[in-house]
Amino acid sequence: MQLSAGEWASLGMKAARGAGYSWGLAEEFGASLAVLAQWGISGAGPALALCAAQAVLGLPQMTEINGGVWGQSAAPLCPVATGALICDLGHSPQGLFGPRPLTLTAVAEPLMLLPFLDGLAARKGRAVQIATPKAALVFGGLFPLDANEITQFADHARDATLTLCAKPSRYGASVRRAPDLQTVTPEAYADLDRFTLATTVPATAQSRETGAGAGLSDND
Amino acid sequence: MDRAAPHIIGLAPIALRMPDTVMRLARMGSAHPTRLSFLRILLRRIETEGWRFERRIFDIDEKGVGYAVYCLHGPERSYSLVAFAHDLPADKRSDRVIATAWDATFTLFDGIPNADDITRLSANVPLQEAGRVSPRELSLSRANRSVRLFDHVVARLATGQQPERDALDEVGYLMRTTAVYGSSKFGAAENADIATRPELCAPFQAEMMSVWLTRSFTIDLVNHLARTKGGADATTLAPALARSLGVGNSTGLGMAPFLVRHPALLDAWVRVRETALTRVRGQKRMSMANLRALIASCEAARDTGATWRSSHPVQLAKLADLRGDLEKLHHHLTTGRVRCAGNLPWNAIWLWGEAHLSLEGQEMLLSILLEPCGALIDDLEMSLRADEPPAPPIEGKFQLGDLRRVIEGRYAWALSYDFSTQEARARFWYVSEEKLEPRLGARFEEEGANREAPLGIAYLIRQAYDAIATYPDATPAYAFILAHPEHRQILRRIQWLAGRDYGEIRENLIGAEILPIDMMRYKLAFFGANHFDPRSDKWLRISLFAGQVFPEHICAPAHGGAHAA
Repeated sequence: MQLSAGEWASLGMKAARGAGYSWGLAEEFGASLAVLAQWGISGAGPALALCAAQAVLGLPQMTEINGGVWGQSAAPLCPVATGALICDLGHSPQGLFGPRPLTLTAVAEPLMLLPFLDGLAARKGRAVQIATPKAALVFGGLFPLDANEITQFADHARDATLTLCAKPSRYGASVRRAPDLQTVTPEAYADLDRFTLATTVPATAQSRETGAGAGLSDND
Repeated sequence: MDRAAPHIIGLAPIALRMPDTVMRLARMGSAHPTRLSFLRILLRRIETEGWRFERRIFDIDEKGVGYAVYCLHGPERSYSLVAFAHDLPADKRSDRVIATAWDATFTLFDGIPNADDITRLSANVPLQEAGRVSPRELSLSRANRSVRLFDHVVARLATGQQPERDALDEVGYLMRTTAVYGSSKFGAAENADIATRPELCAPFQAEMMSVWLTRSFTIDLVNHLARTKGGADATTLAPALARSLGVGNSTGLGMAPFLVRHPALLDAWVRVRETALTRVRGQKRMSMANLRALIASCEAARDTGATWRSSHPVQLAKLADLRGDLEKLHHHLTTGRVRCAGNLPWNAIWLWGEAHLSLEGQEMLLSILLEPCGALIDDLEMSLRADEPPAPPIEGKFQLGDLRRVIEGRYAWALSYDFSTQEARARFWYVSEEKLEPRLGARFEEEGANREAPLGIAYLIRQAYDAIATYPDATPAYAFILAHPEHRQILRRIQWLAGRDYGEIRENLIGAEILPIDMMRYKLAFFGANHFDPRSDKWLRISLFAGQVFPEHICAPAHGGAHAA
């Protein structure tokens, strides 16, 4: 089935919240999925993996920033929390526009990180580069990116050490917008939807008695 | 002066009403439609631009089963209501949003559908949420017949008689929608992709277009069924009676959270309305023609008040206030008390109203004052939009000391509640697992508060404010939300709403005394709804387009259409 970008954002937000993310990060989670959808990329798989990991173990969340190397624990960083932090830092010296490149030791599902970098590049008018030792992507640079380049890089970037930096750019090429939104299989949708159920409350006899239309004929 | 109209000169500077005055539920729950309401904007554009209308297909059998296609042709594009009529057993008819069968289902198609489109839509639109539409569709909706009125009207028309006027006034519609889904819902077009079109730039224009054409369909359907039942004896609904009818809408709690979840949009809507009021009040002259127009506007409001029915005790009291207020206002306008040549005569009427009318009356006065001033205020409709990204960026460098001062200033109303009391936290908003609809629960009596939806803005502000107080002033916001991701959402909201002072409902939305119908009425008044009829504190019926024109009145006919009536 084909989901609109708005539906991706909503599904992602609710699933992330259901998996245990804060509402604020859940909003970022949904926004990342919506951007991927506009690029023609389904983020259902990565989203599901993140929700599952978050629900079971909780992904490592940094609580402080020490130096230019982030994520020195054994487990990979959450791409949503990391992307959000990079954006929050903006021009702060600890962030992407500081004097040194930023190193992320490993990021779970790096595909979900990339929309944050694209958004930051667009807002700040910079070119933002993310690189492994063997490959790199540049958002806001000279050449527009397409879905294939992005998904190939994201696959390659799994478990890799990532280096991020930003430079002034007068080109601002973003990612080509896909003519059609990416489809999601009913199974993947159902899997994500299961997490959203954790944001809902089961009915009780009392709630049925006091619901919006309860106790009145609604058919006259 | 407002910044929206630097070209307007000669107006006295009148301050906008303060958010602490405007954004209170008692006043919001007294709102009325105005000429800047969304359905009025749609009708003005269609008339001004000379749109054409056709009933392209009306293929409905004697049982009322089949489909119809109604087209509106604008200067650049056409839009088509595709309606599917069903034979619904009475025991299946329910207004609840979670129903699974309806008397009629609809979609607004972008363009003119071909046979393949109709086939695709016929397999999905009748299923509503269980089906899927595509970016070619701009809305998805359904409606049920009014048990009180529909069969009565058909029976009367079939025997060549008109229905009782009182019966029509009592209900106000032949069918009522139970949901009208728009942008991006169930696969429909993204609002951002269609909002660049001038005709869809103002809010909810596709949905309004759909409901307007649905209204025509409901009239055609009763005429058609009367004719199949009564044959040569049948007559059609008299135009004046048809015009009095709108499309009903039954609205539960689902609509209330919208205003909290779309604060930038709310700010834009309210700012437009308030700016319009200041422009009107700021006029230095009032002609006799102006005064006559105001009196006519007051009399039209009086007619609306006279045909407005409700059995809810709260609304009955408000209706009594409104009717009394309109008599007072009419007396004020017609007995020489308005000095047209006096100082700021429009403002003088407004100030008189503030001193003498109830909240219902004051908000109706706003609508009456705006009505004759289209040339002065209609350009404001272009400012009703707001960009609302799913996660606006956070300015992480913002220091907590500054944030605290912002909260103490803009959110003093939120800090005024004592959340240590159970009354202040008595309710919680949640989504029901069974219905997937917003609900309002009793926090200290029901399970589920651990899954609360973040709509209690005042309490969230208080919690963030208290947490911030434990940090040094110079702490950057990013460090705070890194340590406290639970406050990320509210901090984003505070920053996002800087300069959007009408973006918050300045009430404790989880307090014991909250009346959700006030929120629903406010939103529906922006749509242009009237005849608000609360059925409980959480459920409201309204009518859309009652008294307004039909397509035939403002559109030239397009060739090749079917004729149902």
